[in-house]
Amino acid sequence: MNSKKLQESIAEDANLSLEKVDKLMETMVDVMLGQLKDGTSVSFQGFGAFEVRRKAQRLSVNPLTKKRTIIPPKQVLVFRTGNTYKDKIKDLPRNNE
Amino acid sequence: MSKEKNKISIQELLAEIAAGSGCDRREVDSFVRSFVNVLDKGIVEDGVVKIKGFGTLKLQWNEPRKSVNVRTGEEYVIPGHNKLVFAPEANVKEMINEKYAEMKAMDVNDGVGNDENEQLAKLHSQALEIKDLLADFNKKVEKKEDKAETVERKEEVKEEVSVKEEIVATAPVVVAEEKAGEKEYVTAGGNEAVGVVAGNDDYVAPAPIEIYETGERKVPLVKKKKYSKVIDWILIAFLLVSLCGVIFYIEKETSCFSSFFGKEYADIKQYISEFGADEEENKELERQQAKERAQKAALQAREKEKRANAEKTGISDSVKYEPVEITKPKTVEQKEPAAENNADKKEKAASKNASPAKAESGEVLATVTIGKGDRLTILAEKYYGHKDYWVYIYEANRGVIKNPDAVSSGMTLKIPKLGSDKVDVNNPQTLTKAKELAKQYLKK
Repeated sequence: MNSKKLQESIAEDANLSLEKVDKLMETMVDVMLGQLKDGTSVSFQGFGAFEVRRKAQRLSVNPLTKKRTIIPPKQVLVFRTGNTYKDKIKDLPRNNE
Repeated sequence: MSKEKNKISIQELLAEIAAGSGCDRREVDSFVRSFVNVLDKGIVEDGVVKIKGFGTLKLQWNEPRKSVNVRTGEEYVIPGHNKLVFAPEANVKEMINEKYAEMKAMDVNDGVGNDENEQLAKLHSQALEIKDLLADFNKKVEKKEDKAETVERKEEVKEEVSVKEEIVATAPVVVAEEKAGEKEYVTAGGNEAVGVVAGNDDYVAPAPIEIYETGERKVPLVKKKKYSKVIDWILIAFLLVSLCGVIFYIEKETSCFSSFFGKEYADIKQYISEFGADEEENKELERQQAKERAQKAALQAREKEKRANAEKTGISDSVKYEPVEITKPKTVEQKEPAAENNADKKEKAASKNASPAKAESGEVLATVTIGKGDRLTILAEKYYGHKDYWVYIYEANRGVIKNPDAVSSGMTLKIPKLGSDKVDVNNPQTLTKAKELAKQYLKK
């Protein structure tokens, strides 16, 4: 499902105009990103939570040259699936992609 | 994580969205609800939902796998299941990682440093070995030199005596002529030895010249003693020459180092300087001086010999020169047939090479270095359009390829240029021919 289809579906589901949905989507993403950037996690009940995790710095070794490199720490955005939702999707038929 | 995780409640989120978009709170509420619903629907139906400017939620299938119950040791199968994964967009990733964006991967030096230290240790031990060898050589040479000195002093005394005697007793000229060759040796060797001992050469150096001036009238009695001395001096000279050779070899070696390693060369130099290179340098200087003196003496000796020869009859000169003139053209003649032979061989070899491939061997379409995973068939397909033509590549590179089944990486192969009578994808005859050839080669 692409973004356009997503917006159409939401507009249909919430009885809102497409423009409004578009605007709301944009602001929601902005707000969420703003919160996430500050380290706040954003959770949707019954679905899951978006959160930022800090990956510690580590040493990596190039297997060819045996050169060791420090990989600096970084922050990544992850989605933690809610338990109820996990169970829900668990037994879905295998997706043919 | 040490940091306490902040959470934003859905109410706060709704408020923020409402404020940001300027929409009614109720609208926002219903929007977020339906947003989650639609996400759920999209995931269940399509398996993928893309949120623009944020990322992608995707269902991922995990294959069933075996696992073991840690307590009971019982094996059981984790059934295959779906999992929801989220991949943020690139710009979102960057944005989230802004805090650490400036940090970049850095090479660690201590890991490599260990290797360097090992290398240095190796070089160090090598340098020590070389030094030991040199020290041994020097000791031996010094001993011999001492002997030479004593022998020479005796000789000087004897010579002085003999000079006096010689004036009285006129010896036959023939003896002098016979000795001419030997004397050159003696003086050359003697002077070298003297030079190495150094210092008092002002006194010693003229002595051999004296021998020369008087040498033509020498008594045969001195001859026997001289023979043993001659052998001694030859030995000393040989030792000196070999020592010089070793030194030059080492120098060459180190210069090789400089071209190969550069840095390591500097290290070696440092080590050598640390371990008393000064002494070695002094010794080397002495040796060089000695050599120069020896060369001068040798030159003088040769001049003398020439004069002696000139004093001989002119006939002998002409006799001597003639053979030289004759031998020169001979060598030239010998060389020419040899060259011709080589040319013949080359031609033969070329014809041999050409016969199996029937000409065309000269023309090369391309030269290829075999990489990892390359095969003759792959090359054939690339250059001739069909893999069966690999036999021709094999034919052209028989010197390099031993087994056509195993082409190891790093080989450089010539891809011969072939006519359409041999390589033509549209002509099935060429294909069958190539296959037959392939059978032959594989049987071998």
